[in-house]
Formats: sequence, C-alpha cells, structure tokens
Amino acid sequence: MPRPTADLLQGTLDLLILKTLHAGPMHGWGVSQRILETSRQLLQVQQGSLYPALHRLEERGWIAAEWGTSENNRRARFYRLTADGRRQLARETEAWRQFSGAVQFVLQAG
Amino acid sequence: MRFLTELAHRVRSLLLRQRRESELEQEIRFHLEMEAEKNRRLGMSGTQARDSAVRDFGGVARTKDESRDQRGFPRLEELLRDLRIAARSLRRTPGFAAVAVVTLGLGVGATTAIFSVVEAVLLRPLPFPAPDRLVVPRSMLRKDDGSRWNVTYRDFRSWREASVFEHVALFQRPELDVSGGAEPMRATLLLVSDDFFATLGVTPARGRLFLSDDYRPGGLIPVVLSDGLWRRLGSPASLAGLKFRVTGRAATVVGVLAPGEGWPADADLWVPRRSAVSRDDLAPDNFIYWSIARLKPGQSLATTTARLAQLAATVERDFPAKRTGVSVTALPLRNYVVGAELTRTLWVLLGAVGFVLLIACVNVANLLLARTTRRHHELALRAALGASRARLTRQLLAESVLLALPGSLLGVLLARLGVAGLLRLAPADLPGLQGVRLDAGVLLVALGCSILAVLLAGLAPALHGSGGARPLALADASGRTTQGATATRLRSGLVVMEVALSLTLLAGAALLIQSFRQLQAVKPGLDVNGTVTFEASLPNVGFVGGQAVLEFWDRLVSRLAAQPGVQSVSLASALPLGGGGFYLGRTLIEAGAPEPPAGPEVGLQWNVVAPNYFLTLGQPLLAGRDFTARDDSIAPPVIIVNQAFAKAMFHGVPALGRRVFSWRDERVAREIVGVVEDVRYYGVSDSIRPVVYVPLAQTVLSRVAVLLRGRGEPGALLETARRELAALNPEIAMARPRTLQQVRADSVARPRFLSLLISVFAALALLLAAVGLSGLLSYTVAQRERELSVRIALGASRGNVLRLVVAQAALLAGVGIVVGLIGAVALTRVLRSLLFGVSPGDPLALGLVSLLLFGIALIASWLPARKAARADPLSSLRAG
Repeated sequence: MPRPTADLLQGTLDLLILKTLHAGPMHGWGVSQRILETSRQLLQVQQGSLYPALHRLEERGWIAAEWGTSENNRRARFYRLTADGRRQLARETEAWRQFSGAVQFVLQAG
Repeated sequence: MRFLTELAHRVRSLLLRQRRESELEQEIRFHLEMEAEKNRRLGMSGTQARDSAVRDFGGVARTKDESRDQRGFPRLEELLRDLRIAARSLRRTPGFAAVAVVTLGLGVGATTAIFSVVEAVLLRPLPFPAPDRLVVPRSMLRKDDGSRWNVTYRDFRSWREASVFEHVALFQRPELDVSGGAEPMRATLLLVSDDFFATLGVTPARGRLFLSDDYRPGGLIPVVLSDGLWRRLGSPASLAGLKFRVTGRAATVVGVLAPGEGWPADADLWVPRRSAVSRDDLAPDNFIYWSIARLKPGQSLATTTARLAQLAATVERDFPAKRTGVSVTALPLRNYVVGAELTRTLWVLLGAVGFVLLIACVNVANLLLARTTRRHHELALRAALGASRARLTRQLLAESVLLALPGSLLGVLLARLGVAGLLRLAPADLPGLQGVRLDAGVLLVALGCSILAVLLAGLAPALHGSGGARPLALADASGRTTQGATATRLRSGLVVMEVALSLTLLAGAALLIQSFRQLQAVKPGLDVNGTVTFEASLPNVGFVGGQAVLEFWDRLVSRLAAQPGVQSVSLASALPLGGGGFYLGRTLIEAGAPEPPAGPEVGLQWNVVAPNYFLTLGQPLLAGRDFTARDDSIAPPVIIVNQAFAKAMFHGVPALGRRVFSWRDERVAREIVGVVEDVRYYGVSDSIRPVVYVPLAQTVLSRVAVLLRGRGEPGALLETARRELAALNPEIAMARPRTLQQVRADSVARPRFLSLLISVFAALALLLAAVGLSGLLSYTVAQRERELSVRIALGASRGNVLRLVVAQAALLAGVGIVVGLIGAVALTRVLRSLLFGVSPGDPLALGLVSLLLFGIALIASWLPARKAARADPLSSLRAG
C-alpha cells in the first residue's frame, strides 16, 4: 500500500475535510477513506490528527455533528458542512489556489 | 459573534464533559471497528485486523487527549485536574491539612470579626444624606488643649446671622420621665430648635416632622418618636391614639422616624424648643447647648472652622472677662460620635489582629514549605520526567487554594462566634455597635484576606519547591545529604519572623494589661462596696417652688432610710468615677479678694449633695463636719471642699472656716465647713481635680442621683427603693439603677475590652508561634536523624544531642525576640494615649514577655529534642 511521504501542510487538513464534507454528511472514518480515495491513495490522513481537526472545525462552527446510523447499522457521529463552513471552504480554496499558483511560479522560475 | 458562539460552545462542552468523554470514546471505537472491518475485507484475521487498526490509529489515548484540548477551556480543565491531584495529596496527609486549615481559620476569623466592628463603627456611612457635610460645632480653648464643650445660644445666633452653614440647629437633651405605657419610663428627650430635621435631612417613617407653628407656645406639645420608643409603645398604627405625657404635660405624637435615622442615636423623642430667648441665653459663657450643622455644598470644613473662629474672636473681644481664650470649632459628625480614643482603639485592634493573620500566614507557609521539602524527591522525579516548572508551581498553588477555601469557611464560622462574643464583651456605650454584622462586604474582605494569606503562604514554598526540582535534587532529596540548606534557611527565617511578630503583639498586650492593672489599683478615694444608686427627676407640674421639691426629696430619703438593711441614704447632682449626672464647672475666689483678672481664681467641679453624702459613699471627711438638715436656705451658706481644691486655693494654709465666693455665677460667699478626700471625678483614669460640695437645701435641684448604702444583696436594695419611690409618686421613674461597683467597672470598660482582646490575640499568636517552632524543629530532627545517629554512634551523649536541638530553638527564638523587641519599641508608641501609668517602652513589660516567649520556645523544642535524643543509631543507619 503506497504511503505518502510528505506531511500535510499545516492547515491543509482543514481544507481537505471541508472539501470532503462538501459532498455530503459523513462520519470520521468515511472522511479519512474519502480523502484516501480522492487523492488516489496519496494522502493518508494520520488518524491521530483527523479527530482533533474534526473537533476543532466543529468548535469553530464550520462543521456540525450529530449521531446517526452508519451504512453497516452502527451508531456513528456524522459531520456536515455548515453555512459558515461553506464560506470558509470558499475562502480556503481561494487561498490554496493563490498559494499553489505562487509556488508554481517560483518552481518554474527556477 | 463568532467569539460568543465559540465561547458558548466551550462552556457547554465544559459542562457536558462527562458526556463528551464517552462520545469521544464511542467515536474512536467506531473508527477502529470500521478500520478493522476494512482490514478483514482485505483478508486479515480478526485479531490481526484489530491490532493493525489500532496501530494505524496511532495512540488512542493521545488522540483523545488532543481532541479534548480542542474543546472547553484547557486551562480551566487543567486547573480542575490540578485541584483533583492536590485534593488527593492533601487527603493523604490529613494532619497537615487540618493544622493548616485551623491556623488559617483562626487568623481569618479573628480578622473578620474585628473588621466587622471597624466597618460598622468607623467605615460605614452615617444614615443621613451627604453625611460628610454634617458637623458638630463645639467650644474650645484657643490654645487648644484637646478639650471641647458645648456652645452658647449667642454664638449659635451669630452663625445664623452670618449664614456660616447651610442649616444649623440647637438642642438640649434633658432626660425626662415619660408616661404612656404601664410604668413611667426615663427617656432621652431632645428639645430641638427649628431646622433640626432639615439639618439632618431626614424624613419621617410615619406622620410628619415639626412645622413652624409647632415652635409657638400654647396647645399640646407635638412629639416625634424614635423607632425604638414607638416599638416599646406597641407599634401603634394610628399615632392619634397615643396618649402621652412628657413630665406630666399632655403631648401629642405627630411622627415617627425610621429606624437608625434619629440623632443622637440614643434619643427617644424630639420636642420643639418653645421657650423664648432668656437672659441666660444671651450670656456669652452659658455653654449649655448642643448643636448640629450642615456645611454649605462645596464649602470645606477648614473654611467653615476659620469662619467660626473669626466669629468667636468677636465675642471674645466684646466680653473679655467671660470669653478670654475661648474659641469655637466644628468636628465632623463621625469624629464627634466615635471620638479619637475609640478610633485609635479600633485601629490598634485591627492592627493586632492583622499580626495574628500574618503569623497564621507564616505558619501555613512554614507547613507548606516543610511538606514541599519532604516531597522534594517526588517533585524532583516529576521534573525529571518532564513536568514543567510552571506546572509544578501551579500544582503546589492548587494545594494552597484547597486549604484556603475550608480555611476561610472556618474563619467565617469563627468570626460569627467572635462577633457574638465581642458584642457581649464590648462596653455598652460603644457607638454603632448594634450595627455590627457579617454582611457581604465583610465576608468579601474575609475571603480576600484568606486568599491573600494563602497566596502569600503558598508562593514561597511553591517557587522553592519547583525551583529546587533540578536534576541534582534527586540526589539531594534521597536523604543522603543532611538537609536542603535553602529550605531550612527559609524556614528558619519564617520562624524568626513568627517569633518577632508574636513578641511585638505580646509586648502590646503586656503594656495594656499593665495599664489596666494600674487602673484597677487606683484608689478611688471612696468605698464602692455596698452602695447602690439610681437617678430620679421630678416633673415640672405638681412641684411648684423649691420647697415642694425639697419636701419630696426629704420624704424619699427618710422613707428609704427607714427600710431594714439600709445604713445611710443621700442625694447628689452628680456621681464620681464617671457615673454621670449634672456636672457644673465653676470658679471660686476667696471672699473679699479682688475679682479676676486682678486676682486669681480656681476652676472646679461643683457638686450639689444632701446630708450623709460622704458617709454613704465612704468618702473620708478629713476635717470639719458634714452637712446637716440645719444647713437650709435660711442658714448661713456653707461649702465643703476637697483636698485638691484646698491646696490649689490656700496653698497649705488650713481651709476650714475660710469663705469663698463664686464671683461669676452665684455671687454668694460660702464658709468652708469641711474638707474631704479627693476622688476621681470623671472615671478611674481621671486626674485629681478640685471639687466642692454645696448643700441641696441651698441649691435646689429637681433631678438627682439617689445613693443607698446597705447590707445585703444590691438587687434587693434597689427593689426596695423602687417600691418606695412608686409608693411616693407613681409618675417618677427609677432611672439607671446600678451599684457603685458597676459605675467603677463601667469607667474602665474600654481599657478592659481592649486589653482583653489584645491578650486573646497575643495568646493566639504565642500558640501559633509555638506550633511553628515545634514543627520546624521536628522536621529538622527528622532530616538530621542520620547525622544525629552518627554522633550518638561516635559517642555523643543523649544530653549532647538534646542540647543541640534545644540550642537551635534558643537561637531562632533569640533572634526573633531581638527583632521583635525592635518592632515592639517602634510600634507600641501608638498605644501611648491608651496607656495609664505605664510607658510604651516599659522595660519590665518587654523583659517579661521576652522571657515568656523564650520559655515557650524551649518548651516547644522539648518534644522534637527528646525524639532526637532517642534516635536509635543502628536502625536509622541501616535504614539509610
């Protein structure tokens, strides 16, 4: 199984989670699997940082959580994007585009 | 907004912590199950799948911890954690915790109790609007000797004419009998001028206050009642139904004041002063009126007193014979009510109790420090394992806080008891005492006190404890070395401080006790045993002319004298030893001598007495004779003088048979027929003053103190007197019945109160210091056990070891005593004005308390020393 070598950039995890939840409500495990899949197995979220991040985002009001039933009929905590979170996602996406664009320029200049 | 929602969320999460924990648990379990299931799908066995899931997750506990930190207040949660750990650690050492809590409780309790009195008497605003502008005008000597007395009508009129004040009023305060209930009662009545209530700024609780018509003569006398008197009359809803007689005259109640709003506080009823201005009123030296005034808004006290002095100077210029040297000033109402002596007494008490609190602090600090040192190993270990210094400090402070809470709780309980005790012990004439209570403000101060105390006590050990947690400390703490030198130095310093503080307090107590003993030892000049007294005054109606009054007094005296057990009976205008009554200050010259300023005069106290006065009081007659029934209004005017007067007037020449003349007042030449022993006039601590006595039959008074000397129980004697008085005239109240012993005790009530309280505090300080010293010694003995064992093993006798420990105690106590003596000499100077017959630096008192403290220190060292001497070298060396 391929493992990502680079650590996620500070703050990037938040963006990934917000983006992932944009697709619809999901539990923590689902979020981690979804990021793994959509990143083509490149980004394995450290589980130890996933839950603190989820709770941090919840504290900030960008995502909300409630208990529901999982696909295999288990009690699970589902997270969904709030209106605030949607705005935050837009902001962070924009910031990321600018950042990665800038990095691109620097790399090309070299 | 964002901030608020986040805050709300965090607060909620703090409250829901328990639930959060289990939710987090569930969430992580779910994750692990999902992961394991996935692993199983990928072909792993059950256990393998699980283990792998857990491994990938990377530390369940850590994740939980980190997730937790995203929620709630991490600091608050840490604080709670610190408190939990602290509570556990205190539970392991209940003895230590109990001693610390009790020590704190004692300090905080004593401080709170005294503070509540200071608050009620000195700090709480008086119950009037803008009380800072209320002042009391008083006469004084221009060359100020500290004495203050009443004012004249003439001065009062000049203030109004010059509009010195916004409002100013005049009043007299006769004590009169009022009837309205079942028995006549003595009430303090205020005859007030117009503007009296406007000056105070009070409004009635029911009815009305006086109108200008009320001051015109004629008709029923309108009366305003105090709340207290209204209640004594059964709190009637309708004032109209109150049938009331004031000295036999019909009066009608028009209003009632709110509780506490009457002034003076002891007044029962207020009556408008209706009498027209008399010739006496215009005399520039008729200082018989009380006054109260309200400063103009924005005008300072200094400006006003300057203006008063200016006006007084005019009167002085106009009447040099009668007003030379006299000026007028105004005192803030609070100063007037409380007085300099009481103010000083209360601050001294607060200071003393502050010392006790400080000693308690030092003691707790010492206990905490000892404990920290004992836990040096634990702390060093925790530091080595990565606990930060801040973390350890916080932890130690948390223990202090845990001690502070029960400590202040105990303190408040003790303060409640203390206040109850104080109110019982306090002299009855302390103003504002009924207002003493433990209200929110006082409790807040108590809490502040104990928190401050604990922070002070906890800070040094906390810093020391965490700072000492260096890697090397592990070795140091293993018990191989003798002791942590810094800790011991710090603790020794604290014990020295404790001893010094105690000594200062003890010195103050010793001085006050010595002063009180001196007061008790004063020979009053009379025999206070076996004599009882009460006051009686005759109403204006039914006693027309001096003859009727005299006849009534004669009948009363002969009836009382005829009772079984009664040895002698007399009457007097005033009682000695500060017993109260009608004191008249007059001056005499020798008859025929030139009047001042050409010739000399002697100022004196003028007392009016019936025959047998000296016999009844047990006041020795040194020469001549007592008054008899024959010294009446048609007989030659006579006078009896005391030794001090005879000395002041005649300088050693026998006084008997000479004639003296009251040139200012009476203008009657009186022959001296007797000389009596000096007595203390205004109280036991009073100086010896010139006093003269004139017969009642030649100066008729309708208000007197009755004196009875008799065998048997004083209460029974007074009961007999009450019965006889009622039989003669049921309208006359027996006022202030007491024994002369009580009169004497009352005159030293304040010094007794002060010396008693200071002694209690000093004893407390002594106890705390002994506990502190003993604690330190037992600790060092425990620390040095190995060293002592080696000494014993090498041949030191047990006596040597004993001496070693006792010497340490002696050294600490000695240094503390020297420091304390310096403090005592400096601080007891504030007591100077409260001391009688002993000076602040009294070497005997200081020497005695030093010895006492030293002795206590040695006793405190005995137990630890004995333990040291009994050290078993073998076992303790092996254990090491």
